[in-house]
Amino acid sequence: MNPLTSSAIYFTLFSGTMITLFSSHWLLTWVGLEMSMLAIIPILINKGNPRSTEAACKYFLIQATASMILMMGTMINFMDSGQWTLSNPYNQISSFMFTIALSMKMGLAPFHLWVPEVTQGIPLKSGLIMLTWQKIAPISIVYQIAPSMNPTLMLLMGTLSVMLGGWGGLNQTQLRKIMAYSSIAHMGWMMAIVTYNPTLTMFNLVIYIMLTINMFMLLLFYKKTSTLSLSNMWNKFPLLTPTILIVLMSLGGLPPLTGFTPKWIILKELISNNNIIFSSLMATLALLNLYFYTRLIYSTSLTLFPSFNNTKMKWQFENMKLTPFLPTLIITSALSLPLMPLFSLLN
Amino acid sequence: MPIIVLNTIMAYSTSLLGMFIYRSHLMSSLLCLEGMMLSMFVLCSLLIINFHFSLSFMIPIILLVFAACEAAVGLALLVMVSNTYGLDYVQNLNILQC
Amino acid sequence: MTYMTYLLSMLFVLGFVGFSSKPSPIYGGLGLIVSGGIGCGVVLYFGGSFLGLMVFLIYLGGMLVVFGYTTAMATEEYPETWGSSVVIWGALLLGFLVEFLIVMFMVLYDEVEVVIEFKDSGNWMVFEGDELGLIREDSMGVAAMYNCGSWLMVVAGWSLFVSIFIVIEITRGN
Repeated sequence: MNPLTSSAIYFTLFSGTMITLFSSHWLLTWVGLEMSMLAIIPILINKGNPRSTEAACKYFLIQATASMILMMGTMINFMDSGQWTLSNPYNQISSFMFTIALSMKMGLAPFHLWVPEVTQGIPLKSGLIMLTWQKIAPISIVYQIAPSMNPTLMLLMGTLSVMLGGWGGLNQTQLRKIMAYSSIAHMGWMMAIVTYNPTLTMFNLVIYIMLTINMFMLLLFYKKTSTLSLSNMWNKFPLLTPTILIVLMSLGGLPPLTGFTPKWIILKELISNNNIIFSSLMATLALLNLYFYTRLIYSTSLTLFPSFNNTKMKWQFENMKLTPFLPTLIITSALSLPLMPLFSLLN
Repeated sequence: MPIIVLNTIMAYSTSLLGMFIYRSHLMSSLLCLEGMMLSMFVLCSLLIINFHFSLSFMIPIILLVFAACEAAVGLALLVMVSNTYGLDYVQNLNILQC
Repeated sequence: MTYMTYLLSMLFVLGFVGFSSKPSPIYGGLGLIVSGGIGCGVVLYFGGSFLGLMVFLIYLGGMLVVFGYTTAMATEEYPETWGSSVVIWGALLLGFLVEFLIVMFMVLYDEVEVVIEFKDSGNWMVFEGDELGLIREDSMGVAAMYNCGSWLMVVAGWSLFVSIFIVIEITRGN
């Protein structure tokens, strides 16, 4: 892209989300969502191949429909109460329409099917933007209207999303699809807790964004998009293979790592709200996620995949790539569990 | 709430259902998006006229502005799809299915 | 006159059913333009003369461009009409039937409950008339966008401006 154009487009993407975050009027919220939706299309279509065209088209259709449903919910709310403010008790039907529209926007379970397809079709960098930055705006709206949402519905959708996010990823060998399913599962964790404690949703979002940026940065560093190509990098960057192990384990939520923190607090909050069944179901279904992360780990760092003799010396070459964010990201996404008492400040 | 609002919401839901039909041209889906926007424009203006909220009259205009943006981007995507696939059928968009 | 707008809004829905049953986009565009004009009429009747003008001139003008573009793109020799496929025909009939039933229900019982309750059509009155000489509030309200809503206008104008670049970037791809 032309630098001038690309700066205008990235600025629109940024300011759209910012407008959504700062506004307390439904129209401006919607305007911000529309702006960031329109601005990400050329970023998705970056390379003009059929796959990215199709991905951008699907993304556009889904997101435009979701915006329309959101606006109609606003209209019905307006018709009922005569208000456009974001924070008042809604009537049931508009709250339901907001739930549907926002879960379409962020890819929650019954509306999740577009996430893996779109993520598979686009370049890694656009995938990084789509799976992290584009989730902020809808989740911030959910955070603001959480008291009016139906707790049972959100809990059900969240659990379904954890289940399908784990289940769908079992069959995949493409890294971008695996990341997309992991995103669906994390959205499920966020939405299951949102009616009980919206702060935990934001907390989980922050941790999720950090881990996903880290994982995508590693994949961008290797320029790998499939499990097979991931498996013969042990002879190129031997030091970074255990890093992938740690980051994936953290995404899966194993105890000494950062990813365990939100899962722990969410399960505790659910249990203290008498949701033993759902919390144990979600904890069990998180194992599905962990299973396909383990498969990635197995092919990356637990085996020495067969390779030619002359490629085994590749690690000796000096690496010229810049890794500006990688060390910080790796350390924070592995070791910030002891900082957990700090998060009590959030409440 | 009178029959006109009912009919406008009916028009909106018809066009939403049309959007969900997965069979014909991509252009028809874009027309359905436009239709949703049009029915929301009419509904919003009628409500604001009825409530006498004078300052809210800018809301339908902003709706139209973003409808124009969406139509432009949708048509550009339509051009790209028909350049790539030769046709603009929605059911042709299937190379990314899992 | 009130029954006239009832009829107009029914026609509005029928036009929507026409293009939502997804015939060939040529006929779909026709249906959308017809319901756009009728929607403008409904808004005009309730006193939104400026908004009606806006939707008629700007929106329908834009739609005509889209319509012409679509006719140019649809190279099919025999475009699908409403009668040429069972699916379209069925969807059209179903839409007409639902609209007819709802309207009949409304006329007979004066209330209908489709998730929300729609009733009491008596409170829907236009308080302005030609003799009263009130200010046309809709043009005033829109003009307030230059004053109170200036940032809203900046945002809307910026997104229109950027959408040009977005379109260029999308179509330039290959």
